[in-house]
Amino acid sequence: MAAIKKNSCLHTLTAAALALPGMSPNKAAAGVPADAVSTGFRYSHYDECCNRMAVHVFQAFGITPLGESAELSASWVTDRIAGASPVLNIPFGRTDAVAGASGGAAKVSVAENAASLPLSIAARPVQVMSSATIRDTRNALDLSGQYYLNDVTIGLAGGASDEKDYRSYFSNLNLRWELNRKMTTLAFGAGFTHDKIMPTTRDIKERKTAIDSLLGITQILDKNSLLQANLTYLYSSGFLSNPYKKVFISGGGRRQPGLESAGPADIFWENRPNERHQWAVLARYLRYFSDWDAALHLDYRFHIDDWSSHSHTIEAQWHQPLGGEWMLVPSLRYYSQSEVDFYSPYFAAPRSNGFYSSDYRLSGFGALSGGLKFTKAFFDQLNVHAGVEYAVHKAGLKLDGATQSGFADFSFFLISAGINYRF
Amino acid sequence: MSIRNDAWQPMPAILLLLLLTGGCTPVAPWQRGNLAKPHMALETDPAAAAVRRHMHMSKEASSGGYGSGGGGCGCN
Repeated sequence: MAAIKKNSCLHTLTAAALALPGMSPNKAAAGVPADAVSTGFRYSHYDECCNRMAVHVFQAFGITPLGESAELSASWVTDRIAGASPVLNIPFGRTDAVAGASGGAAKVSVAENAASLPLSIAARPVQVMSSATIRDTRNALDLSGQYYLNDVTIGLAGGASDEKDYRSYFSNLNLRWELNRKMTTLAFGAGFTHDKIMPTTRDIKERKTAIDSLLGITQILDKNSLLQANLTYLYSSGFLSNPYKKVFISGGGRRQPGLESAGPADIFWENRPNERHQWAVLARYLRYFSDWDAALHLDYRFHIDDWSSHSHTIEAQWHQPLGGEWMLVPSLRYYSQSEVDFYSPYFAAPRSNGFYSSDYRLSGFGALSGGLKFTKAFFDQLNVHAGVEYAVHKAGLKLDGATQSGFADFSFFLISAGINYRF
Repeated sequence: MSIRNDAWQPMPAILLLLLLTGGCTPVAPWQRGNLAKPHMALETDPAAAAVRRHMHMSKEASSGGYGSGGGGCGCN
């Protein structure tokens, strides 16, 4: 009995202190292999306001020990996607182009602060939505294995994601090295992704590849706190445009190489550079408060790329046990990004380098979200949880407040419920 | 394509944060009980984190920091 208790204590001690970035979504702990089979199921529902996109997410995952020093884990996810999405923005005076630009029945909305746009061509721009007929299902499988040596853990993972217009294969290798009497863990990771893009509304087949790398350190600061810092680099190449997004370019676009007409005059498929370098620095600070038996999780991420965009993300979670194996977790997240240098709601004139996007995701905006989650554990084997998160996505929430338009404005909620069982 | 000069402004604070790790005090294994609590794990709910990161990847221009992951267009 004492031996079992000691082993369990060692497992949780090491797991908590040495947990590293989630290279696999069902990896609950690091440092020591799983000592029992566990499995879980989760349902989430994502819903954007104003009859935009909605996604049902079904997840199943499990982990099993392989001998005494290895483990194998697997996860499956199915996303069912439906709704409408912005396609492009056009000057109000050119609404004659809407029907052709949207690829079907379209909904047009005028940006609230569109009058502030510094464009020379007259009239307020309008946002053209796709018809609400986007439907797709994504299935993804992720397998990973971990092998534990004395101070080193080797992990190998791979998987595939398939939807009717997009197929992705990914793999990664990661190493963790514990040192300094297990107060410090260094992490090294490298991954490769190969994607095929087959848009349903265009007669093209494109590819893109990405390599990523991670360098990280997790450090125990004292008996109540630890810090993790990661540096990641991501290089993407190939077809990096969104195959469904269009741009309005007033005059001259047809003479530029690389631009493909999307039907009506002055309307083209967006065109992004075929390379992108991204760097991110993540700092995570965890502190335990004995008086409340609670834990504070603080994350800060700085991201920068060579498309002249950068972003800040800060997230805080408070994990508060309530007694009776209940846990309450309120959370807050703030995100702010600057726009890429080839973004504009629409283009009053051709750009010299031929790169254009009016995808709101590349614009300058901020997002603020708040969430609440409850978990309840039963007999140290069963865990059930449910949560809700609400987010406001708004150009005016960007850090310096400067914004070009309200085209990035929407809100969404995410609800989820799940169950984990340890055999 | 270039990186804006002012984008590097947060870097001193990040480097200071990293340097602070050098000032940590030794913690023996038997003193790590609080760090071992389930709600002190870096990822308390990996499945939820996977959904949220895919959601953010689909709606924002940034990714990275948390390690490899993959799959999915997130085009719409």
